[in-house]
Amino acid sequence: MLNISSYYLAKVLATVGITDRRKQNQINLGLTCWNLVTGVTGAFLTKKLNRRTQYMIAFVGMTAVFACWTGASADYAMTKNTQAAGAVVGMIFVYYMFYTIMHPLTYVYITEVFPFVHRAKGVALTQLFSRGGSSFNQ
Amino acid sequence: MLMRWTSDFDNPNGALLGLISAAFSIGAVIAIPVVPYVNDRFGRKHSITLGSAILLVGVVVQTASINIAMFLVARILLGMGIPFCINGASQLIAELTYPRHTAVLNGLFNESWYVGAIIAAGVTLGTFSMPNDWAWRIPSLLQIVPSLLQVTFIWFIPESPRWLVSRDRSEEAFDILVEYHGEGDRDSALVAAEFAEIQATVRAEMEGSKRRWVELVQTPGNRRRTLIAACVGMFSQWSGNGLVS
Repeated sequence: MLNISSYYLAKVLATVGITDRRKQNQINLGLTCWNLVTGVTGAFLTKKLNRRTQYMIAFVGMTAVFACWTGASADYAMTKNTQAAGAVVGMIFVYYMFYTIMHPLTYVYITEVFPFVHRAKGVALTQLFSRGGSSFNQ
Repeated sequence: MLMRWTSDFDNPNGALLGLISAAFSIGAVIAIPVVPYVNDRFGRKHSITLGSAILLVGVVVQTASINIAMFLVARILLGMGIPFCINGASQLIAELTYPRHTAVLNGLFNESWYVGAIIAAGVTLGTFSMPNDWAWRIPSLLQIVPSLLQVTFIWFIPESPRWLVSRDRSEEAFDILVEYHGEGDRDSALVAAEFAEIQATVRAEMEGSKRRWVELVQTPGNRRRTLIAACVGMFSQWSGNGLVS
């Protein structure tokens, strides 16, 4: 709530020379809006794709884009080429497109996997591991 | 982090800031073991009611914070309220909505997170240059709006038919199915089929289970489900979303 631009995004952008706070905030807000658009699309994809296919597309896509992102970031680190910096920003947006193909599935999948008697506990377990995962990030 | 907030709280150091950001997770971990009990005993709707009530208290304490201890307690309360709301809401959507739309609606439910994030970013952008403590108190106070809407309108939405059947309230469950899935037609074939399926499965599941935690690891099928629950939770966080959250 207290972050305007996320702490981590600011650091990633700083590694490719984008240190201006205003610019960072603009990219952050743009990225959040982009996530909403691709996430809503992902929610409707559940009509067309089965769950595992949708997860596979998301994770394969994220892995591939992350490799390109790392490459472009390394290029910027060696050459200070502004085109490489632009590519990194573009890559972040494509990466999140794949992330939000998976993001809508969390509660869809978990409420389908558990039968009624254990459903509340199943969702609670997901919440616990999700909280544990995000604490690890910090 | 907001400059104004930092100075109002005497520039807390790194360890204290870490504790404040962890407080949200600490609250969640305290609440999560109780959440399924509340859901199964009091219903999906009132899990949301309880969660929203805790959030209301959390928001008031956070907005009124005069020292770091108050702020910390508020963050723990906010962390405690959220799992009740999410657990109840995701199950209410799964069990109440028209079957053909359930997946899309539960997907949109999770994506609504970004709507909140955009509003929060906009509000903070508007207030952060304010010269007084309202720079952070206004964004804090505005968090009350979604919870107020929840506790006001929760009374107007139907409960999960499956949960009602599990509490021996089958007649109410049937009425809800008629109104929301059968467009008021008590002889609807869809409603009859759904009602029969719900009664048969809920009864069979309740007879074969004491609904204890240990059952989640007692059969191969449940072990697999538990593994999926853990992976879905973990990998939704370990895939780079820390950048925007």
